[in-house]
Amino acid sequence: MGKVLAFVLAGGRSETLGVLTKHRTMAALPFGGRYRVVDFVLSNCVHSRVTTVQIATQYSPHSLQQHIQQGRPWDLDRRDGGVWVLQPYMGRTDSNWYRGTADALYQNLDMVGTHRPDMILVLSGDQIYRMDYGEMIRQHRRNKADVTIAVKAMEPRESERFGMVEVSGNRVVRFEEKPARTSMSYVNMAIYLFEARYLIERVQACVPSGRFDLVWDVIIPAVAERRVAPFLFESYWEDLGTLDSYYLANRSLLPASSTYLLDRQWPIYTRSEERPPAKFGATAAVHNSVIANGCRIFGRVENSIVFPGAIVGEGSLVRDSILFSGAQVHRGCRVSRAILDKQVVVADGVALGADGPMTATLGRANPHAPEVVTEEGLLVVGKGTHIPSGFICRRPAMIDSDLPEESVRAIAPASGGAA
Amino acid sequence: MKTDVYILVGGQGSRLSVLSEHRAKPAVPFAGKYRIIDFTLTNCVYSDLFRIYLLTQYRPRSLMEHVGVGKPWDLDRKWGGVQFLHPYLGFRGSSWYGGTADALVQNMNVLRDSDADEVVILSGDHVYKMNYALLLESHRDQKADGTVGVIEVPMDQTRHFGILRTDDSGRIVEFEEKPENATSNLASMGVYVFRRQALIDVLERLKPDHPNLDFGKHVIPSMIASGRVASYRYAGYWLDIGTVQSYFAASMDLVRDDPPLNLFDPDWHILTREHNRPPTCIEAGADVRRSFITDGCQIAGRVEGSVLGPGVIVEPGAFVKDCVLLDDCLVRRDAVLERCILDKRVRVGASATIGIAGDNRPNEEQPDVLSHGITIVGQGTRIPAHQQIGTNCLVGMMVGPEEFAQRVVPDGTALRSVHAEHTVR
Repeated sequence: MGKVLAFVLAGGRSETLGVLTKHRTMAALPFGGRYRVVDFVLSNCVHSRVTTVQIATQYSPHSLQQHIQQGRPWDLDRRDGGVWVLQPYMGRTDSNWYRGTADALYQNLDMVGTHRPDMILVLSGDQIYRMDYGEMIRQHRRNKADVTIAVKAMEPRESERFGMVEVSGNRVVRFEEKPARTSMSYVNMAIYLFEARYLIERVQACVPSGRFDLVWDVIIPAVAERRVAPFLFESYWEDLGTLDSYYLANRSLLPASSTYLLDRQWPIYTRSEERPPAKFGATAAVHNSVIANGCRIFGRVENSIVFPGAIVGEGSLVRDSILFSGAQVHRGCRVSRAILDKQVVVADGVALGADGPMTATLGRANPHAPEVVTEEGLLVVGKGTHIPSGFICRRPAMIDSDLPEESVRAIAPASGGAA
Repeated sequence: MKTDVYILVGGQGSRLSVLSEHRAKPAVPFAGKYRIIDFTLTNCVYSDLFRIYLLTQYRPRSLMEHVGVGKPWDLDRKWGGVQFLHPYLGFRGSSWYGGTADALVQNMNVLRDSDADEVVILSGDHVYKMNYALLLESHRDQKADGTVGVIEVPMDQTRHFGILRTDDSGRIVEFEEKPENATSNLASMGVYVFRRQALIDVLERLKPDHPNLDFGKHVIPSMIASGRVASYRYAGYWLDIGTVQSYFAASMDLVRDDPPLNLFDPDWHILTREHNRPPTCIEAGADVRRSFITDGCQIAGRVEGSVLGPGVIVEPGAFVKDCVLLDDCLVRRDAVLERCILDKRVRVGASATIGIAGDNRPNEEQPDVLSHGITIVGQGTRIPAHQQIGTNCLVGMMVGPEEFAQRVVPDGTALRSVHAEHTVR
């Protein structure tokens, strides 16, 4: 089928997720009880026998780098091919951060070129789906296209988050990036397969002249030239662009909603720390939840996703929530619609997520970041923060990372908003 | 100082019934996701011992598959790492290993060619967390030829162990294997350190007269007579999972709120080969408590006081109480299980009942092993819907649903598959 190189864009600064992406790029965000978001794309690659994978990072790459390392959990520690995490670097004449998606490719053309691929598969590191890229590659060849983009039929109501396309036969005939409203019914999934020579030629032409975006400067002109074929995809696909979409995508994995995680034909591979099995105490009561190894559950857990090594103490109720690795909820707490990042410690008798005034905005992760929005009314606590005993915090709210108990106590907790 | 480790992993564990019919005892699964050997291998790597030989004999396949090249323990190394020593046919003809020390005698070339100063001998059958570095330190401080790891056991248990007496300095003055009337309750853990040359000397001296050369019976007593053998006291959790009853009891200990064996110590996580499984899904109507559940399970029924391996499915209405279910068992709707051990991939049909107490008659085939009200089912067996199986029953491997002739299997019955006869020879 020709040599394929996967180029994963994982550099984005996903400020719409607030404190969850303060110290990590979206691709490194924990997901589904034991995974990171990037695991889905990497597992798709290896199941599709695409085993040369380059991951372009830029924003807070350490968490991602630590997760991927040499790629062992995905069998990507290979003699031939394998996985690379690419960082921005300084050259003799150029020293730029990636100024756009096309620029990320342009600045890594030497690495791409080393493998002399016939095709380049450009993927996004912050999506959840299972796809056989082999099928896409075969169709691309049959359609004799320079570019194939994966598209999915979708209600146009979320169109301002996505690119929308119109398909006619085996060609994409119209493409609009993030239209406020549209009549087109296919969404661009941001999964692109290029003939390598075409992509290289295009980025070499546009980047030096100051055009840095893959969609605006490569795809849309190619659509106009009828070079782009569609690959219709029908299964589950979720783009985790916002806090709410992240939360809802996790919730959709609960046993009452789906068996998505249990698919044995297409398992999702991940790096996992060594943990014992989960311990359920005599007072545990767990319903419709996902519980990973190493958890210790002594309280009630409902409709929640609990990552490895998290603890729910006796007399506590955790409902509609996500607890990341090592989060601890001590005794007698109420936690509702909350996302507790890693190593958050909630002391005895805390109430997190009681109903508050329904404001949908949570403030900003930093002064330059966009406002974090949650229609779902979520409460988010950043990594390593200690919530003091007896603390009460209504939803929605966002509490910063690494705060000691005194700092949390000092913030006015009664109303929503950022802290 | 350089140290080689030899782990004896050839044990049959015949009193573990069907659990060890097709695998050596160190490969028997324990505590949901582990194998018994994991505890010893983990001890080795946390003690900075990375030159490890595994001496196999009885049914090594399962163990070899599990250990592989040793990656989960970081034992896939350029130098050292883990290496299997299987029985082999040599130039002068050869035989199976006759005893624990004979296994070393038959690999004398490996022992001689090594540049190690010390040799650690371990058993792959025990569950414990021990830092061998402290043992080695004590051995060096004492300038001993050999040092034996010892632990206090209850006085009424002494006849199952090698029992020893020491002088005030900890030097061993007397050693007796499985004594009827012991005068001490210090037991050998089967954990030894030797100066390599001292071990070679004593093995060479003893081997002509002892084709069944054994560390407890021959090597240690002989060394006490001729050299300096020290003891090293260990006081933590240590268990020889020798019988179905002790396997069951150790499993039940894990589900207590204060288990004697702490598997959650972040500084001493037990390392094992992990298969990629999703996290466990607990469904809306499920009731899970006092249990120890591995990744990959799907639970919709009731689970109480039980240890579940990866991938176990418990359907709605089913009740699993005080059981050990190994990997990928399937318990269909409304089935009821009590005090059973199910080996991997056992399927229990809807509304079947297993292990519900009757008159508790000991098992007809293995009365010594199965007399405590535990029923055990071998790997891959499929139990039909509505089947009833009593207590102290033994159902062999790969028994098909058509082989259950009667609706009720009475207490103490042994049921074997005609198709799987080769597996129990």
